[in-house]
Amino acid sequence: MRIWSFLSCALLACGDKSDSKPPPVVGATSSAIARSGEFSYKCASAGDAYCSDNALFGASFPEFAVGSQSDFFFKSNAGGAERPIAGVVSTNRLKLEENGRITALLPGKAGILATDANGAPVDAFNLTLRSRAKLKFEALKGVLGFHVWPEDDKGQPLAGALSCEWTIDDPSIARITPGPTSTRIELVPGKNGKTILHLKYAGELNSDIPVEINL
Amino acid sequence: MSTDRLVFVGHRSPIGFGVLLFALCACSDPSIGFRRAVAEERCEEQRTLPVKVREGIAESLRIELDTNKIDRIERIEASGNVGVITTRVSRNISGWADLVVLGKALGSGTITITTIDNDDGTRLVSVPVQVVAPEVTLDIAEECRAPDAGVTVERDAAGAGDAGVSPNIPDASAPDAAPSK
Repeated sequence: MRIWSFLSCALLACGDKSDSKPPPVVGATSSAIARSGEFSYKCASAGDAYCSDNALFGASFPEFAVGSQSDFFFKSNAGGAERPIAGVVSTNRLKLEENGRITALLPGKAGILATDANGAPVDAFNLTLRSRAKLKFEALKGVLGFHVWPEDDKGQPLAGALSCEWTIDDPSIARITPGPTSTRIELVPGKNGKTILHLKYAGELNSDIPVEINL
Repeated sequence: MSTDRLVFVGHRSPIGFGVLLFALCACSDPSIGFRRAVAEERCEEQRTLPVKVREGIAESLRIELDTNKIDRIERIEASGNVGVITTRVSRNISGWADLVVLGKALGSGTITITTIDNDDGTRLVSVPVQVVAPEVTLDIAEECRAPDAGVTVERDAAGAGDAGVSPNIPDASAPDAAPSK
């Protein structure tokens, strides 16, 4: 059943021109608490579901999955270049690495800080961190492909990069695009045949998906 | 005879006692202290010390001083488990400061406000701060209460990840009754 549905997707994909797809959204911004500038979030890697699936972006700043990584920047209203954040309010909740990269450690609210040249905080923003309640995994509509993303207990998609790895047993039957670490992939059909697509996501979801190409 | 009159003025006459108190107050230095801390966005108000802030986040607070005798606030610093970003301060007698207070870790800290009086010089006001657990709820400001004691605002329960849940409202007769941890 699943194999045949994938096959029909494959046929659609052959005639699909993806050039008309909108460019991927790779971040979001929000005003700082003291309104002296804007904090922005950018995907740390293709393992952030928000960065490979525009549909996940809403109007507001996203909420982040515990255990995920994201990059944060601050741009002052007074001008100057956008700079990576250089501080967090509590190291219990957020781990700050180089170039504004944050690892979310605990669920709840957690403050990030913009700092001046001397390292003194000048403004702040509170991120919302949520535990992953489930991992969603679906076939794409209209193309032969899949996407995966984490959700909280209310079904809200969560941002932040998590480990994501796709592999296929026989790449001559189907090739993974844009790459094996993206949360949203499409398969480019090769020769006819059967093979298995494997997904390892966030260290929790392991899935083996049979694929048959018969063109 | 004169002894009787002294006793009468000092201990029996309310008017005389009031005059004595007024004279004492007029001669002493004007006191400056903490009046209240208001988190307008959360609709929270604290009138007792220590001021509570939540661990791990940045909280926007206005601290109002109880004073009628300063000309401006000069500087604000934090120590201990809190940090502070000064957003705006009053430049007149009103004595308030808009701050972003950072609850760095559970425990205590101090915000020190340096005030300037053109006649009396520099004075320091120490505001003790307690950093409490993220899920602690604080007192709802009076203006946020409905006429029949209901609550008209919904607050985001910081840290608990349960936005939209009705806040725990402490007993109005015990304004400092919120749990400390």
